[in-house]
Amino acid sequence: MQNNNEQKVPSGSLSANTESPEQSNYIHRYLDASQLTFTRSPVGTAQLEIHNEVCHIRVIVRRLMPLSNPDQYISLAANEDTEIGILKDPSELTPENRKILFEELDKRYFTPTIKKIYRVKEQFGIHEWEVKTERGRVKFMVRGLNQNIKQIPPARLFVTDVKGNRYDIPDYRELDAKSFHQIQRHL
Amino acid sequence: MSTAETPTGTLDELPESIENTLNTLDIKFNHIRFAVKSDVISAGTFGEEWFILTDAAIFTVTGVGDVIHYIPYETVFGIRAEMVVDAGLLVLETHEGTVDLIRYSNGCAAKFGFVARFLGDEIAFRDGERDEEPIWDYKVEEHSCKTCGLPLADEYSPCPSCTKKHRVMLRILTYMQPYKGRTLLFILFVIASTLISLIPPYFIRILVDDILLLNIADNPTTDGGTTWLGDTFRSIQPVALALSIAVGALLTTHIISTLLMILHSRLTAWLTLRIAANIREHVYEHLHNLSIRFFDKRTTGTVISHITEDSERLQDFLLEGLSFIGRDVFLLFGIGIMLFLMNWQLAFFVLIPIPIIIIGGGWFWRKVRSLWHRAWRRRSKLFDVVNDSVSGIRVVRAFGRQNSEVSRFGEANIDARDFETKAEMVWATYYPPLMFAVNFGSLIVWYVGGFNILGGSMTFGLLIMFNTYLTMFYGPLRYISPLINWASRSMTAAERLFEVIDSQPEQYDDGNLIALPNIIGEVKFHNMTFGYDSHKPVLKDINLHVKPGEMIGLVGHSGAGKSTLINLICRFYSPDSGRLEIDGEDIKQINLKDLRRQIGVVLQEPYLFSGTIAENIAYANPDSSMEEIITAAKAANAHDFILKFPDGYDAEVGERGGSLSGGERQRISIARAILHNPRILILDEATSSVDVETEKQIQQAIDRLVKNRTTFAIAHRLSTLRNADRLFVIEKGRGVECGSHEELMEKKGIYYKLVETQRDAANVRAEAQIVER
Repeated sequence: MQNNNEQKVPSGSLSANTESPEQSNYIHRYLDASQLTFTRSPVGTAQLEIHNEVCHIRVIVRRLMPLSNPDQYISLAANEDTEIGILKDPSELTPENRKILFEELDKRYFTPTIKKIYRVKEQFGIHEWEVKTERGRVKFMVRGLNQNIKQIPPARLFVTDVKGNRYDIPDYRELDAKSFHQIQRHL
Repeated sequence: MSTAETPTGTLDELPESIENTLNTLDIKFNHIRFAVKSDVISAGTFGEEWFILTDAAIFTVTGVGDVIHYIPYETVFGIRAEMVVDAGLLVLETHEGTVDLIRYSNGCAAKFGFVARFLGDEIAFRDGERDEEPIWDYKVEEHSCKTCGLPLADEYSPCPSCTKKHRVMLRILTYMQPYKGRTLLFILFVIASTLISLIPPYFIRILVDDILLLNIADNPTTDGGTTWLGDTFRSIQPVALALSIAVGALLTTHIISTLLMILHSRLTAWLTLRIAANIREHVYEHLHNLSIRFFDKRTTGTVISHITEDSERLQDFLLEGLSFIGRDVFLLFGIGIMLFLMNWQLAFFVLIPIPIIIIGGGWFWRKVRSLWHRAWRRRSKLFDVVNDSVSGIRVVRAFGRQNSEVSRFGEANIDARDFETKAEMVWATYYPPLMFAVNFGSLIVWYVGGFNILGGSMTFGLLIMFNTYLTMFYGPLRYISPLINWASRSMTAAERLFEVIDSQPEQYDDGNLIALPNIIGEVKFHNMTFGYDSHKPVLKDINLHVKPGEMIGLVGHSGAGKSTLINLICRFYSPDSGRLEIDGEDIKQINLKDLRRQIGVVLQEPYLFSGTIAENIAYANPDSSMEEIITAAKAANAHDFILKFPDGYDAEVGERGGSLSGGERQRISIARAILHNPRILILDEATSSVDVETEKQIQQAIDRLVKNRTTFAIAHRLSTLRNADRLFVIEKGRGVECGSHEELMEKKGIYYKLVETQRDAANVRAEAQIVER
């Protein structure tokens, strides 16, 4: 991977190598933040223009490392199967561009992060959680805690409720003492 | 544009306030067709937002009725429910461009998924891409208890709140019914052994008061015996005889109680093992009649643990816990009454530590249990690390990662050590005080009883008797909390077992359904849609008419839905909408027994059961004659290699056919299918895991097998489908092309591309082989 330091493979050389579709999959393109412009269509769809090149009318944004490095290495795609390229560091974008990018990321990555746990009440093997998330206060029910709390070392927890919604606790050690107390016996 | 009459009640009820706000808008419409509520607002926070479809347009509005989107329905030409991470997004394709219409959490995915499917079909119908109006068949898939609203694991689960624990216990007891006599005997033994254990302290009292103390010194307080039996003993002379008789009586009670114990334990074992075995058998029998869907929701491991672990847990409890609890509860009451009868003032003092024991004990056991559980989890994590790196030991060595593996183990080890230490420390700290509370009761008795003796209102023997009873009384109390826990966990295990028993079985041989003893083999899909979760369709609008005896090759990328189509033909699942017909009858209406009897499958990984080769070939038709088995084996090109085994047709196959090669197993499973003589044959990647020579043999066998049968064949290697009459190409759940090889090649569509890709790959392989040589 040593030759990946190059920020951008010129598009010309890319197209020169695309005789076979399989081959082009091996070459990934790092996008130059200064060449990108995100806009919104009149109906609110996110569009991406690569300077002097092309305009994608509905850009799909995905994180390469949604857990360990959510704010860097963003994959931009024209549709589910066609990646345009990878944006290494969105902080190089202008604030307006960054705003749209992060709005789109927010739309695609819903997983609410639990900030505070008010209480966990058990009844008949179903635990009712009442928590504060960055998306607001919410109550949800979790069946048999052990299967539905997944720990990712060292201290990240994913809680899955009965409806299939997933809630994220990035580091349970950083919760306040009261919140921590509510869940510690399940760790 | 005319649209289907849509019942609104089945989705969400739009609040009147929002409806009123909509009516004040400039945009006019006749009526609202339906509304769906989302639990996430466009800003991404939890809240309320509505999707509303009127006769002319789609709206999204906020919880207070402010319009966010207004899109005339006729400008929409596509609609889909897009899955994003832990949520969903309804996306419209309109003439104005793509619109991300409304966001929702996974909790609403089912209804929005349905809306997208229904409206998608409706739009396709409107635009003439579909010849049939979609049917509104919304099913609420939320599994919650109908009485109390508690969410359930799936539609098969009983509600843990409404099925009371004591009900479960009663249900277990019904399994005792065949053994009424012994059950009665069991209860008698419990009572008898309790009563017997109450006797020794009484004799001790006589021994002390009426024999020992009386004859050591003058005792002013004991005018007259303590009891009538005491009187009798006082009158026996000489004292040595009285002592012998008293000790003899003690000995006798001990012998009787030992004998009772033996009988009781033997009976308990006999009875409870039978109950557990009966429940286990009942569960297992039921398991084989359940719909495949039941197994989808659970891993094989869960199902196996149902019949092994849960029933073992139940059995342990029945065997030990039940008689433990029975005896202890009885003892507790018996002694309690005795204590009060002997000296009710003193008995009151005895009660003082009880709340401490029960409450403190309960707290203590809860804490210890949770700690132990956490320690156990860490320990199992440790084993995972070991398992992981030992299984991959070659990789570890090859990459020289020994040190990092050792340190990974070290971390987990220290973690486990620390947690176990913590658990043991808590035990060490809190158990002695609990014991202290228990012993405290006897201190009170010594103190108060001592004063009573000094005051002359009580004899020494009575005090000893009292204290002996007391020890027996506190003993069960100490363990009452873990016992309750044990009982409750066992009841949960029993509940899980009953959950299987209570699940709705497949109607395998239902007389009300259409009998098809001789299937001709015409299969017809008509606008059929299906998804394992109905809001995520795997197959969409499948239309295919297969003539009897025709061979259809199913082609498509992996995950396109080929195997799902086959699952539907076997009727492991039923279509969500549209029809699947066999010989013109709706598959849902066909007697399952008739259907399955006439369907044969040959899978990629043929499953052979432990037993001989002959037994495996005759698996579906155990009554087949040896001649039939040989004919089938010959037709499957299996006869020759079977003869090479020293045990011939009697050769043991071993677990999953481990002693046979892939090609051999495959040919045995083909022989099985030939003998089964199905009308509809399914070949799922039957030749994919064998070498070229074996493939030729298998292909030959298959060619013999497919003759005169309706056949569906899935093959990754397209060359193996060359005998297919028609090829049906599935792309992302839709049937996109259908026709013979030549027709499809001429069309230069998806099939053509697939063939070309494989040809390239084959060329590359061939070149590589040349280079190797």
